[in-house]
Amino acid sequence: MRHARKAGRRAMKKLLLVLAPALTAGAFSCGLGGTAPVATTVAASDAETQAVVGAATAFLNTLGTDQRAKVLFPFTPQKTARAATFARTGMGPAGGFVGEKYGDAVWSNYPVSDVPRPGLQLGSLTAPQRAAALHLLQVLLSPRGYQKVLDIMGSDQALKEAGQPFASGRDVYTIGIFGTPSAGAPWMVEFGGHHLGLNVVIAVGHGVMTPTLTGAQPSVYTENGTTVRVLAGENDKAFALLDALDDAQRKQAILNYEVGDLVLGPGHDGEAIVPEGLKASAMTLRQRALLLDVISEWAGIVKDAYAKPRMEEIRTGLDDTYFAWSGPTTHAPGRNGSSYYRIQGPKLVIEFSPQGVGGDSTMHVHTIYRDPTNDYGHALTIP
Amino acid sequence: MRARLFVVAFALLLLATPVSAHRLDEYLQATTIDVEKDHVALELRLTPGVDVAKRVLAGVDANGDGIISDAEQQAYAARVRRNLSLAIDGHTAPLRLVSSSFPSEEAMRNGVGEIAFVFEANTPAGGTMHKLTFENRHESAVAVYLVNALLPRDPGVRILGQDRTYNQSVYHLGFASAGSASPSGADEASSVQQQPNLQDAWPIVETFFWHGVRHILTGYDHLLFVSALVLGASTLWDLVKVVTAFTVAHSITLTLAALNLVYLPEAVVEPLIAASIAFVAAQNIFIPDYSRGWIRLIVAFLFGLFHGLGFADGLLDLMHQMPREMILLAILGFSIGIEAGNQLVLLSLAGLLKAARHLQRDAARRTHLSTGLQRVGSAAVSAAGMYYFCVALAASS
Repeated sequence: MRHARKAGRRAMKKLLLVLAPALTAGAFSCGLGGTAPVATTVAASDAETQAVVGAATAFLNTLGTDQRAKVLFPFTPQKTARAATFARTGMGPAGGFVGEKYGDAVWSNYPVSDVPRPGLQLGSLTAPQRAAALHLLQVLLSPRGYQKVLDIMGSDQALKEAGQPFASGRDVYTIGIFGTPSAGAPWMVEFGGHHLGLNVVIAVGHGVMTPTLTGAQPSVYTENGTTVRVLAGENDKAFALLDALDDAQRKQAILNYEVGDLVLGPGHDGEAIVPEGLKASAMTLRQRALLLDVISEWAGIVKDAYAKPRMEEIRTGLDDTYFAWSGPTTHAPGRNGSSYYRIQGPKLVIEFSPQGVGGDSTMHVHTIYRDPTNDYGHALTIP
Repeated sequence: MRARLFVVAFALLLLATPVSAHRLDEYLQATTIDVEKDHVALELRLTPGVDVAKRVLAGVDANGDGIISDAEQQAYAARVRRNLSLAIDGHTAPLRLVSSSFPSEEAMRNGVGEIAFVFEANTPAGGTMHKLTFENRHESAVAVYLVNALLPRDPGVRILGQDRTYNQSVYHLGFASAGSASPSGADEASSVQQQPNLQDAWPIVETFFWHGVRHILTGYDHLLFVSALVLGASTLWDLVKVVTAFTVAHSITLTLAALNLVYLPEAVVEPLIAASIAFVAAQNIFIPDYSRGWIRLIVAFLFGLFHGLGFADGLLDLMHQMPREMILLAILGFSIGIEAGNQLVLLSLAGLLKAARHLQRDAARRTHLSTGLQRVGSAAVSAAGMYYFCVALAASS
């Protein structure tokens, strides 16, 4: 008995000796957060911007005088989009609409029959003019960004063909040019319709694509026998990130309340809300890479020469970037999920907001992409 | 097969495609709360969907003449204000209407109009930590509520935390503001943010002290571990040493984890904490010699490291978005709270054990009773530890 107890003590002693360093090492080696590389944003080369200027000028050259008058607007830099919309005292003037107005530019998540967009609708253009307009987008955007735009328009076309009381379909997507295309003074391309509000300001060698709204309804459609799922990357990559989080991280990331709509949608320019969710500084290197991959779905819409410095900027602020989730943690294969998520960093806001309005929220989504410090490139255009 | 799949997919699409595209039968009500030093400003943006627009419009254009007159705007603003409640530090804070804007009657009827109001309320003077509760009951049957605090523009104001009900109709906000409004420039304000003064520090420490006490008193796992340490200690001096080792260890990891320097997944920490209970209690029974002296100190220290990570989990839940300069104060308050809770349990348990032992006057019998108490108590604690170990493993697998 005594012998057995002695043996037991020896075993326990050994166990303790093994446990001590192992547990200590384990505790301190796990999850040491990576540090973000310090980056400076470099403007794209002149040639890249010249290509965009060339495509914009070529489009304008296909137009008649009347059309040019309809598509060209002045570019008037201002700090935020909503400065003039709100009276500070007393009963204000008629205002308050569901879009965002920046100078003469207007975008929204509402159909063009509800919120008219300034510029020329594709349906009003001849075939060569339309081709030149789309070519401008092709030069301005990355191949996958351009495809995303085509898919969003295709989805709206499917919606139109199902019969709608409001304007929808490819033909009502509208292009507007604000300012004079050049590699010098700032100017802007706005292209959009029901589920797209693409705003790209070209200034001092940068192509700033914030704010931009993307969306889809129906999120899955069939065209020429091929099934297209719009904004699939935005959905699937976010679920991949959520799946890569452990329980404690999920507890931080998943909000305990419902988010019924975009918080910083059209008309909310210049607003900065208190961030919530899981901070990227508490993520592993792999999780941070997954987060950047989600972000690239928006930041990578614009052509690579403009997207690259933007991604560097986002990477620099990654430690202070939050990922918040609300809703189910799974989605049906081949369908988008019904969960809302938000990514918010020092220079970044992304919201993905499935819309339950009047139907299946997995088939209808609105997203917003902003940079509170540089929406409409104001950091570059206003000294 | 493929063709059939497409037919099914197409049929699904037809079923799933709704007839309209924008907010229909809901009344979106988005509130942002802007905290200034001496007041808060609430901006409400109300967007009725097209299917509820008629109902909302009937409430706005009361005489139905198709024009939203000034008087009707004021009446609607007053109605909305009655449906809101704001309390700061438990006292009702009256809302003042600062501005409003209404869309045209036609835009509203078409479901594309947005009504906006700005209300303000004073923050009570005195005290730097405040709790705000906002409730919106306006048109609750059709409402979709959103509430968010804006990032404070005043560097002297810090948001401590937000909490909402599931539908966001009730919203709680904790914030700290550095004293009364000061007309001087940003320089002074930013120095306030860099260096929270003593007046600021105390409420933070105090708030997190109580969080710490609550965390330990509602956390059976830590209490069981502390009980096992008490049962193993033969003298008060033994107990002091062991508890000190535990405290030092959990303070180290609590601080490192709260500062995001160390991280272990809950799936690892929870089973280890449960195992620590079973392990220490089993040591008390089977090798009581190891339940005191340097071996127990090492055990208490090592397991203390993991308990610290467990404490940090509780603290991190409360520390969302806390400004960096306040984290250390929160850790300090929380640690002291944990310690106070620990001592409360530990001293009363040690006292009880001592009293029980002294019931026996005979020295030999007293030793016998003491060993008996230690064994029975430890066996119970160990069983509980093993049970929680299994539960933790099942939860993490």
